[in-house]
Amino acid sequence: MDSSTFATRPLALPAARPGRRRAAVREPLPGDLAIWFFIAAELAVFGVLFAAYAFARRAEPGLFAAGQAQLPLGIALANTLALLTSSFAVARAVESVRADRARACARWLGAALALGLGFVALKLVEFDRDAAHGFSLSRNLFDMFYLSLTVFHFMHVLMGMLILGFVAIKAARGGYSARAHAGVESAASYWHMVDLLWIVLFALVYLLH
Amino acid sequence: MTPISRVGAFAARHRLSAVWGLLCALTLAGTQAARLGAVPALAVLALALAKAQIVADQFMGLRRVHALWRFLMLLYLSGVGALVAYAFISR
Repeated sequence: MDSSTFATRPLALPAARPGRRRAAVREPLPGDLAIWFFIAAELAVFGVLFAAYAFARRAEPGLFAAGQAQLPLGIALANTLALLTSSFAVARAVESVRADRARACARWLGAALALGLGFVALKLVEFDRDAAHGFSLSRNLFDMFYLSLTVFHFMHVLMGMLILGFVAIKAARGGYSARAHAGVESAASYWHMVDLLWIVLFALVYLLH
Repeated sequence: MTPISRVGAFAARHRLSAVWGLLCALTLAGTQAARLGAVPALAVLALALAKAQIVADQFMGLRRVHALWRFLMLLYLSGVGALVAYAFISR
């Protein structure tokens, strides 16, 4: 493992020479190294929760199947598509700022925020529906896991939107450039983590019967 | 924080659009298959983990960095997937 493994400084790409294959150039991790420690910690926590859910389900499959049957699959699917699309928008924002198009970066971040808002709105509709169906943390094991996982993830979405909002405002004010945009990459990495976790959560809680 | 050229940005736009389309298509197909019970639970789980790895590689940008980071993400997803799969098949 060489020192470039943990490098976070800018890395100049060598110019391509006609007729010669360019050696594979590895870039440093996108964003600040600190955000990756944070992401690793979050992934570990959710990993434990996912495993705990699966083993709790093994203990009471009937209870979990009955609980899953009450969940609104359509809303969850729409939320999955919203987060995937917002993640795409954030990736486009990063590519825009890397090409020195800060305004386009701000617009893509705005689009990602709008999709995040859509996720939040749909999730609130789902939580309201859950309450009407009598879901509560103390009712049974499935409710406890379902609400804990989804509310915990929901809080991460809100945090991600806050971060994206700050970065979008700074991008709109010309605060980032092709040479200096670690803030955009850090925010993007966090948001992709939120998306990645939802993909697993959606399959585990809504699809796996 | 590596800058990219206009040509590079053009290629990246198309690549990201293709990845987004693939992820949406896999989500819709996987959800429909799971809803109809057409595929085993483990296949649904494997598809979700594959989508998560695609997000990490293509959107997060791990495909451009040192292979160690990509391996660690693969290790994480495989570990979580193995635990969940074990809980499902050992009941």
